[in-house]
Amino acid sequence: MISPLSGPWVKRVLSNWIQPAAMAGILVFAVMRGAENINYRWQWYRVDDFLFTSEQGAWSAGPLVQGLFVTLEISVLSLFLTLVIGLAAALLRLSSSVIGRGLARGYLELIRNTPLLIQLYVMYFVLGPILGWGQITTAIACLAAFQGAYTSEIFRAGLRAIPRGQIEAGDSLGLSRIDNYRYVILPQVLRHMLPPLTNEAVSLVKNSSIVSVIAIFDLTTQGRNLIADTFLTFEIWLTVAAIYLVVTLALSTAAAMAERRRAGA
Amino acid sequence: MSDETQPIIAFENVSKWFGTFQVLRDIDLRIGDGECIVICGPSGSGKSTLIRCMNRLETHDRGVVRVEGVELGPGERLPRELRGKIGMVFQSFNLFPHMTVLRNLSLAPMRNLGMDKERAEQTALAYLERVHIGEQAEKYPDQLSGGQQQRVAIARALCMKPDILLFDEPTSSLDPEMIREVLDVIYELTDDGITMVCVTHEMGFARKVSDRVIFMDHGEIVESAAPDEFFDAPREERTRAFLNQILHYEASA
Amino acid sequence: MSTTGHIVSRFRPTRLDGILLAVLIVVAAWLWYRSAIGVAYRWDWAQALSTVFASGESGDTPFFLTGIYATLRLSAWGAVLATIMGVLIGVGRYSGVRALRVFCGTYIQILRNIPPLVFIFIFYFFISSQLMPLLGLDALFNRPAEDASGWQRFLFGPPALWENLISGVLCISFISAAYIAEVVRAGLAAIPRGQWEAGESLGIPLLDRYRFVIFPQALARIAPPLTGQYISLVKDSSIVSLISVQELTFVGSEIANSSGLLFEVWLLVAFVYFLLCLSLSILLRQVERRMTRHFHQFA
Ligand SMILES: Nc1ncnc2c1ncn2[C@@H]1O[C@H](COP(=O)(O)OP(=O)(O)O)[C@@H](O)[C@H]1O
Ligand SMILES: [Mg+2]
Repeated sequence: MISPLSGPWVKRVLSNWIQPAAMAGILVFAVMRGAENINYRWQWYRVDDFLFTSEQGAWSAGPLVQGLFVTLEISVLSLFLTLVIGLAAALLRLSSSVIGRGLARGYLELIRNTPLLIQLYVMYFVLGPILGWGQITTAIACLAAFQGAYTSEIFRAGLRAIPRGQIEAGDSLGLSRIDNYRYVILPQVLRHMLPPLTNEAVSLVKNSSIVSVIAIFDLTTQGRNLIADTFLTFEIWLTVAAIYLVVTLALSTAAAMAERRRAGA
Repeated sequence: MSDETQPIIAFENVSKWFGTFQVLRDIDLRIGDGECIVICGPSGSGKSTLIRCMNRLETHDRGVVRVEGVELGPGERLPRELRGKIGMVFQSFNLFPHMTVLRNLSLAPMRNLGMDKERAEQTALAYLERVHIGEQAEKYPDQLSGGQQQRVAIARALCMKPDILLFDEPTSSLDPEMIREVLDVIYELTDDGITMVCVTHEMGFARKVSDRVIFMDHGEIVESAAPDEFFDAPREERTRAFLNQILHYEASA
Repeated sequence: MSTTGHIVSRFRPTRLDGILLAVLIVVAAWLWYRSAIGVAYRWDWAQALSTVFASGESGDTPFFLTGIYATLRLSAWGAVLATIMGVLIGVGRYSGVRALRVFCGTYIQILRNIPPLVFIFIFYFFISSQLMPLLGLDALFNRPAEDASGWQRFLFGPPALWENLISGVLCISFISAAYIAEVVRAGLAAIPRGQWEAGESLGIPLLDRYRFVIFPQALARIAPPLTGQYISLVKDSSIVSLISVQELTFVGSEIANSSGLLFEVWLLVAFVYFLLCLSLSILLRQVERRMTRHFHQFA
């Protein structure tokens, strides 16, 4: 029986990580051999300098690791903003205000029906200059505006899924409205929303690579610059991809485990 | 009586595991051509697994299974020539929900036996008549009652003219008032001389229809006897306990 | 498309409406003030429109329109290839061959977890420097332009850009295939086991089992998320502008830079994508409804 979701978690990790890793290894190996056949000279030994450099025993971050930090910083900051925008849009859509619902709706359709890259260009070339924003601000605002549209759907689903019976139970026990929300409702809603919200974080990290087109020194830009300098195209791109993969897979595994704990609880 | 002729199904020392859990323990079983067998036993005792090893929806891990003279080792699926020859009726009907009843019945004869559409539909209608449901041919499964759906499923299996028909608790998901119509249809099939293996807890049905009743527990065949003997004078303590439970339940229900 | 159902739809202004309206007006005024006075941008829509729709030197199709056509071609061929690959990979997740299952799973996992941008940079380098010469495709594309017939031009655009188009199509379809494969996998996973078993016990051959029993049922579940993937594909096609595929975004940035009408051109490009995606989603929803209507709806 093929059911990747059954069995103990060791087995899950095995099938989620080890097997794909082995398969990816085989693929990379095949590509390497293929490239050798057409005289691509592999120089993997030069790559570790781009991750970490050591001068007289003192380690410091190489360009790729510095880029990773920028990527993470942008992702984290825009995640906060995403949550704010997403929650606001969700509340507006559920509100009784016609203008509020229209605004939220228009925002969602606008974001969903245009490419992220175009949104970035419009923000960078049009909105940024008008508002006097720098690159980083533009990047964060753009990523958050994009992700916020999708996150608002999660909030909306979460808010609508508040069990009526729970509210009534809290009320009938004489809890104040605030206490009811704080102790009864919100914990349940948050636990429901945590796994999908983690997936939003994964998306943010992934999408953040697009800000490399407005000259922000994130992981992708650092990779491109190194390639321009060294011509180690495959080595560096594969390393960059692997770093992204580790970050996103770590986040999704965390989400899966949170989900399991929720399901188990 | 089945010992004299060549059995149509034979299990020799068959064992099977799901992971570390042993579902079938050294099963020895011979079923003669045309025999009608009822298998009963507590839930989880391996009844479904046993009959699914007959049409190879499951494969065994040790021992030998022989079906219609074909020897099947561990892990072996059904060979081409036997596909469709061992029909199965499921507890949950498993009709194809997106097809009309007629199409449900004619699909396999067309794709497996290469029948043309017209003949396949004629056959289908004939079998629908046999299960007293000819007028529902153009309906979709979810427009039928449970009992009607299960009768369609039986007709669907019959359309392939199987040598063996397996039933896995065919009435367990039916409302009580529909059980009778399905059991009647199965009973009528005994005239055809088709070999039948039926997992069921309908003891009245077992007594009336079967040539032999088999009781399973913890993956073993505990007792195998003609129905009168099985119900009136069970030899094994476990059988008696099980029958007591069932009869007690039926009396109080 | 339903608005929040439980709330009354009759317009009754609330306090929130007032606040939002005020905020809207303030923001709009502020934006206008900043653009007109703050950065002293001189909007010139007339100039922008005439630049954008001006025909090329020899009176051929306006550059901007070639970009739109290229995006349409890119999306159409990308969708075809991505669908084929996606279905194969999604079905491969259910293969009896373990290595194939793991391979397909890995493909889905990796492609969905690295940035599309990084993938196209790797893949573009790979196909342009290795794959094309290896398959001898570059010879095929360097044919004289006169060879191309009218319908070839219609389907694939000007011959000089065929290689360009192929690169773009390969890039976006490899990415999109992973997402479609996941949709297909989930659709197949939703089919009850009993359906497979019934088909098997009736002796219906494997391919027919897929064709008549499984796929029609899976399709009803796959269609809605699949349309979403096609919209995403159109949107994602914009990133292949970064490997110089001459589609809408690429053309837009050329025009914006050469004319200096940054504000107008980028807003126009955004508007065109918006129209494309919106009409595609309306169209696909129609198709989807028509397609699934033929399958009997079951509970
Ligand atoms: N695919 C499977 N994987 C793991 N365990 C299974 C599987 N199918 C059945 N089992 C286990 O095998 C035992 C016997 O199952 P089954 O043959 O269905 O019993 P019965 O039909 O007598 O109720 C049960 O304990 C069940 O949990
Ligand atoms: Mg069972």
